[in-house]
Amino acid sequence: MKQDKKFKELYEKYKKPDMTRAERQELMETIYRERYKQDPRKPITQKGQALLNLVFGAVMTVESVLELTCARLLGSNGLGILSMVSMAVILLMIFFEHKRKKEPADEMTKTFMLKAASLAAVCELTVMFVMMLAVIIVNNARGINNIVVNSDQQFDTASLLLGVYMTVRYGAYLWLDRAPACEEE
Amino acid sequence: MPELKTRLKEYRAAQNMKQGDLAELVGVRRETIIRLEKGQYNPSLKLAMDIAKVFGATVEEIFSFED
Repeated sequence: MKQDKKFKELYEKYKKPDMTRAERQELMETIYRERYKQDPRKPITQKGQALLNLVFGAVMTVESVLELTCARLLGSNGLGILSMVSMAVILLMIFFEHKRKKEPADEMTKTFMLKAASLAAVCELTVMFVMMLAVIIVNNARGINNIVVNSDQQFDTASLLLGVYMTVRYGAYLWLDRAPACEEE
Repeated sequence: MPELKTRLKEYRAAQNMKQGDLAELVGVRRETIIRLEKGQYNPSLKLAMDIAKVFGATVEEIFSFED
């Protein structure tokens, strides 16, 4: 009852029209933090969430690379199995994540995420440049002047870029947020 | 370049408070408090003020810049 009253007060505060955007955002974080305390599910830490997202990105990257480079080798059956395996891994992760409550991000997490995102953007541009260069070199070697792209390749390229971005971003975050030596209580 | 020094650990020990308890009071993770105490992270003004409020001290008493 006391907690419900607290939530009611917080939500009433949120409805006030004269609040600034920053105040509203801070209040939402406070509400989220209160809800997190009351949630009976086991928590998944920020590092745990980043690890799951890293695995998700890695699965997307590997799948896209295989589909772009080894499509003929795998055949339609192989591609189907690959898609099913990656989908199963992703569904398992979503199921696992849903079973737990997510630890809210604090200011240090947001700072690290911003740094990781900027690094991921640089890697993304590098991957795009390398891919473009590879396509041009291969086509020139084969004497092909036109670049033909089908919808599958477009989808796989988009998937690869998203996978690379997620892998680098969350990998960089885990590196930045590594535990300092001699953690004390 | 001056470095941020903190007396956070002293204040916390004086009140027999764990890092996790302090983290919960100011709304951050325990890892943030660990890094603050080690001087590996510069807090925002709001966080510094919240921490000072918990200990009943001023921001300058807990955080200082030293060469």
